[in-house]
Amino acid sequence: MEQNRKCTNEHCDVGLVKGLDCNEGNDPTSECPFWQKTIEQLEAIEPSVKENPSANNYSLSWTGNALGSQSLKILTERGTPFLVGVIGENDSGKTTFLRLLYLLLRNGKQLTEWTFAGSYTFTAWENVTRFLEFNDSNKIAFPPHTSMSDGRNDGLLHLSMKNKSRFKDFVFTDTTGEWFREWARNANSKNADGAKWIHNNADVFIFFIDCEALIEQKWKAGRSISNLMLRLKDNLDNRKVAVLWAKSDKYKDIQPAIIKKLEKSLKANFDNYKEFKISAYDNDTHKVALDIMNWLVQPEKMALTFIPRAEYEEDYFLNYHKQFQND
Amino acid sequence: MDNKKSILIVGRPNSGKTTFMAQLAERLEMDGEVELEFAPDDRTVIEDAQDRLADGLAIEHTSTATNETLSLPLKWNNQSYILDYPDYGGEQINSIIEQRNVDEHWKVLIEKSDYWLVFVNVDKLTKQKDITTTMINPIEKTGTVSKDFELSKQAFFVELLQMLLYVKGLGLHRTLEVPKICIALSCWDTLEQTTIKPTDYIQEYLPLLNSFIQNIWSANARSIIGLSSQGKALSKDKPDDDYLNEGAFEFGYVIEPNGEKNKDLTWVIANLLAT
Repeated sequence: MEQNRKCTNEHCDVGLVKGLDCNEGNDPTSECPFWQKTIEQLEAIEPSVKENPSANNYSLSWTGNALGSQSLKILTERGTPFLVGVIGENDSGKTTFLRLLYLLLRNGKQLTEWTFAGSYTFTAWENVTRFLEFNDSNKIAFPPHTSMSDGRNDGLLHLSMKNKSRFKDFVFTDTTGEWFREWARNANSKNADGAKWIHNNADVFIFFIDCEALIEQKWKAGRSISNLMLRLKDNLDNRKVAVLWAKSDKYKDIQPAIIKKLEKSLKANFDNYKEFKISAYDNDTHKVALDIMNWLVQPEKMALTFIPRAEYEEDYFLNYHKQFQND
Repeated sequence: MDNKKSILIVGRPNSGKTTFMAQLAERLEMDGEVELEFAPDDRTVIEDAQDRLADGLAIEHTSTATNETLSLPLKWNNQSYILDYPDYGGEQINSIIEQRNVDEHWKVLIEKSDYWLVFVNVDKLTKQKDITTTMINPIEKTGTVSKDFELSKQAFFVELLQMLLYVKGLGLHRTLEVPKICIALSCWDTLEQTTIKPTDYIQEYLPLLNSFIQNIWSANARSIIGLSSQGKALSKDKPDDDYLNEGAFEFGYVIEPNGEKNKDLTWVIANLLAT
């Protein structure tokens, strides 16, 4: 029997105290539904967590790396997480934006109503934020492109936040842009399953428009963005979409016709959206980043009933490298 | 003895835990707020440190292999307590974070503890410059990062506290009254501005950790103090004359949360027990 595990029955410590009997009277304990759920949850967590080097050692139920959709279950004991789907093409600034948010919190900035109360994914946050810290030569590096095979632990990033006496888990998707490109191209593609999961489950979205790409690739990039909007529109209902014109220091150099056409697409596709311009080189970047989050988490959206799909047969966040390579 | 409430000391390597314990043990036999109830069974863990301080020298670093716990029986307000100091070398705390598991000895100590005294060394603590603190210029986008990765100090301590809470069977979903926690900002004498209040200091330099503590522990169950167990810097090989002439027990101080200086090191414990 797995020892050193808290049973999902909050009144039962059978997994923590040697010799204790199951609180529900099951003998053996393995027949207890609560204990079976405990084991299921344990097995759903990343493989590295399951390795228990010593029977006497007490392993933790999180690794610090990004979570997968299955391991979201470790958060559900305190209510449904608030899932922020971060959508955009490769190199559109998704990863940088998320780490910017984390750095703001680490440096003492706060959302209007929510303050930091923990995280199960510190390693994932900080493994990338170091690209945004000044090195010994007083320079920064920006995070590298999140590719399909770079081995970085992409997936779900977690923040525990508190508003007065209320705790809430915020979860952000941090994935490669290839998912979304594939999804926009062919919604039925196997390689689009991860993007579909995000689309189905997110409470709100952050949608990236890469100004630099619009300058370099003109409408070729614009069309990809437009196709992605169209895909996101399906079953979007009234979910909020924060539209980020990323690398907006270059916004003025985009062909006006392209901007006009994209603005028109935004209006046509999204009912509940708000546009923001953000650039790492602007003075008000910090304020904009916090404004975006404050808008997304305004109270009326917190009532959404997001339920992590525990029955989901695959964990796209942990398996997507493999999926792409095998397809 | 098992029914006594217990205090657990936790900190990273070189955070001043052993120096504090050596100095505290001297004060407990004097007329501080907290007294030693009776002589501990085994005090070898701090004997070397006390000898070094008596010679006016900085203490030697505790080796990782040391696996002993000093348990001091304390008396405060007519109540008995046990102060547990696992002399594991702070490296074992680092290892807990890296290996993601806690051994049986630590598990027992964490589970039975009612009070946590957490040492955070503020010596050479600076703010990390990043894109949220400093404007960048597009032409400077040429930096590289080291391949070695370690958590920032703030993330490390939040992760450590999350782990301690988890082992104790407490989640991150409610405000806690127990265990009580005191964050001791150690090596306080190394700060340029020692008059700053500890509560202001932690918000300025460790805001993420501060936010976590404020959100997880109720106001009655947490405190932030400054601590200088030595009172001044000591050399490892050149004896300090003041220490030799006046005695190590004359040195060291606490900065209370309100900024007041207190020379009674036992106040650290009294404050924790009173929270």
